[in-house]
Amino acid sequence: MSKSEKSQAPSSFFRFKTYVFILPALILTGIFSLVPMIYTIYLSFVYWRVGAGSELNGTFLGLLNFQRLIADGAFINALINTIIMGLGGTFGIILLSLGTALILNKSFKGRGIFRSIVLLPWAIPMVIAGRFWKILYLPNGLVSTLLSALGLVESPLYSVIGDYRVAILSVIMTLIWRHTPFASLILLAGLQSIPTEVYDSAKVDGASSVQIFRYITLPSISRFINIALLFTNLAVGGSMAVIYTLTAGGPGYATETVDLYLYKIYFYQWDFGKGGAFSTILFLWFLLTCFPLIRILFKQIMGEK
Amino acid sequence: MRRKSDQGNVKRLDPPEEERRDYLKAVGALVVGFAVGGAAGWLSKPAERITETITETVTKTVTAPITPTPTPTPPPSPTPTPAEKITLRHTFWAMDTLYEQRIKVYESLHPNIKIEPVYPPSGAGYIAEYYRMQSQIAETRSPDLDVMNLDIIWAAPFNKNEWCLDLTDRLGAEKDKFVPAMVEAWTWGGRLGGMPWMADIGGLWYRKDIVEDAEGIKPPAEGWTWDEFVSVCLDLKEKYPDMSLLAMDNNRGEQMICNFQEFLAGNGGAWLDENYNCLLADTPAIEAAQMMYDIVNKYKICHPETLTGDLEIARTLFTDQGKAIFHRNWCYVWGMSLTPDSAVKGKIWETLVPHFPGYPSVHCVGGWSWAINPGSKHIEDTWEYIKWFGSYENMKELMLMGGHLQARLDLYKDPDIIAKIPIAPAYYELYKRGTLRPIHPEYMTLSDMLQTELHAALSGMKPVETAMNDAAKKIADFLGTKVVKK
Repeated sequence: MSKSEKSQAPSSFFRFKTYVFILPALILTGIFSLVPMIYTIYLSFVYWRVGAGSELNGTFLGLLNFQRLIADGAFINALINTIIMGLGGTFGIILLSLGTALILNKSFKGRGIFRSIVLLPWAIPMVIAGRFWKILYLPNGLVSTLLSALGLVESPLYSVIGDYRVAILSVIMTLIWRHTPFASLILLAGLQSIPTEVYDSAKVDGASSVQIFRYITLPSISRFINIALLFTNLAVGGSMAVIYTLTAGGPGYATETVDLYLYKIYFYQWDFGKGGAFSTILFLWFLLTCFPLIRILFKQIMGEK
Repeated sequence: MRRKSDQGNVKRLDPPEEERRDYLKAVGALVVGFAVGGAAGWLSKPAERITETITETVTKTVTAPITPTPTPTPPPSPTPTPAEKITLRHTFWAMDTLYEQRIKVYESLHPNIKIEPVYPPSGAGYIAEYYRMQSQIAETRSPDLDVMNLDIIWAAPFNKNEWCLDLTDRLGAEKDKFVPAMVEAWTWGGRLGGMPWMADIGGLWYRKDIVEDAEGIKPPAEGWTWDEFVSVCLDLKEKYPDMSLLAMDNNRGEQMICNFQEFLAGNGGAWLDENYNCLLADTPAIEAAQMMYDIVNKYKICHPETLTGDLEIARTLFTDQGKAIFHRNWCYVWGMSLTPDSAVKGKIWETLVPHFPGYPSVHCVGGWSWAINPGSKHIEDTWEYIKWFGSYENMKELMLMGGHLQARLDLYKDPDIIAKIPIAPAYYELYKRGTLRPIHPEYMTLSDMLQTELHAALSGMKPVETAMNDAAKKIADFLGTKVVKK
């Protein structure tokens, strides 16, 4: 190690101080995240139920819980619904939040009020959001009345959440409504970080609005889009409260998602072994899908190309 | 990662490429660990053998006929010295002032006893959490609770697993004075695990002023079938086009299952036979589900929100808005019809639920019971407490004060009660025709399986017969039994 490198290396006291500072966070994370996580992984390999057969709790099953889960049609259905909602919801949210952020970035009269209104859905608790949209979707609600007035449905008492063919769309719409404001805020922050001089130069050079958007705006906010994607993905994935209060997974199982089904396995079937296997799969899934996104994000933020 | 310092120097303080590799290695190791761990277990004990073990030792213990197990001798209650005060912890869904008053009366009669109410957690799914909390405390014989407040559908798991004290000898012949179906629900292998306190039963509420006064309409009467009911509804539809004929909650949930139970038992059907084979793919069950489907989709006599709303939407349509003629609900509708918000004060009555030809009307029984935690340190005091609360006099007092309907059957013939609650005799008739959802330790799972499939059928996602076959197969697979069609 050269002298200059040595001088740049943190001293042992600095290292010690660093560890002391992060120790409380580590302890809390360990107790509230790591221990339950390890315990859940343990549960996925054993038999563990509340109630019937609880005397067998702790019996090692190998991969049987995983096998049972994969053979369960409801699990596959929940997985497909989650992917559809995740992709549809995230795509819709990013698209709409980009438009909203572009509008909010312009100066116009009443922008402050408009911003407040746009942010309103984000301030509403998910359970309330679910109930609110349920009222709108019910047969006598606004959505059915509108669809009927537009001639899109025959009966004025049509229920969007009662029709298994479109129920999932109604959930996606609600998720878009609920999560767009936060994504808009992130993208707005990105737009406001672009120096106005760049736009001025582009205009002087004769660039059209489309070209400015394509070659200046989008690349400049790409890392913000990634942040928004990451948080939106997590927010949509964690929207069980909305779905539970909106459709409870119905009609039938048309809108049942993995978190909702997981909840049922734990608290209706009381099957903590199968639930543990489910949680472990979800954990691995999020680990593997979020890691590349985080990696790209850090690269962008830190300027590594 | 790199961070630029203010001077523009690049300082390497972030996880380098090697750390990312380490991270990936850790993830890889985790995956490999799962695979190796699982495979090791698999090889050490073949999956087939484990499945067999689980099926045999778990499901068969559940499904096998139960022989009475000896009741563990409860630990003797420590005798308190005169100055010592005993605190009994009692779970409630939520405290109401009437119970608070009665608790104070009990405490004044027993100065050495203090009753401490314990409430469930709040939030979505709190009922499930409430169940879990009580079952775990009872399972571990923790003394944290003395009296548990339990729904009728939790009776079998509590009884089967002996999470509640056997009250057979304590209640003795007194048990016959409670709603019979509730006592039946709480009896498992000859063991009576709970003392019913709040009774509830489903019935068909209707608008007397419309149905009984309508010319040419046959008013509801004993012996009416579903076909007759539909015919009455269709006739009324012509006269009252702006009203919903039947406000009935058929959303995916336990309420839909209660409705189905009445259709099923009113057609001579059952969920399970004596060996716990599943009968839901049999003709009575399919006919019952088909009638539910027809009522919703073919005859369109249910209120529009029947598949997506909830019980309260149906109830407010009936009582607050006065926009429904018939309404399938529990007994609380009577009280709601007397509130200032009601549009139907003095205009409603409750009658028997229709049935299929050749079978009687049946009514789904609900309600809650008190059970004693076997881990309680004050079993005798707890028993004295619930015995007092479950006495005729106290239950009558509670009903006269306007509290919940109580579980002693004779109360519904008591002149004082009838003077206060004129509909009480109608409830008495319903209680005599009570039907129970399966008494099974795994009932909640079975119910959830049927809920999904039945709601899929009612929503048109799949044909009724297919849905019932699927439900029956899921349930039989879960129980390790067979689908039986008689």
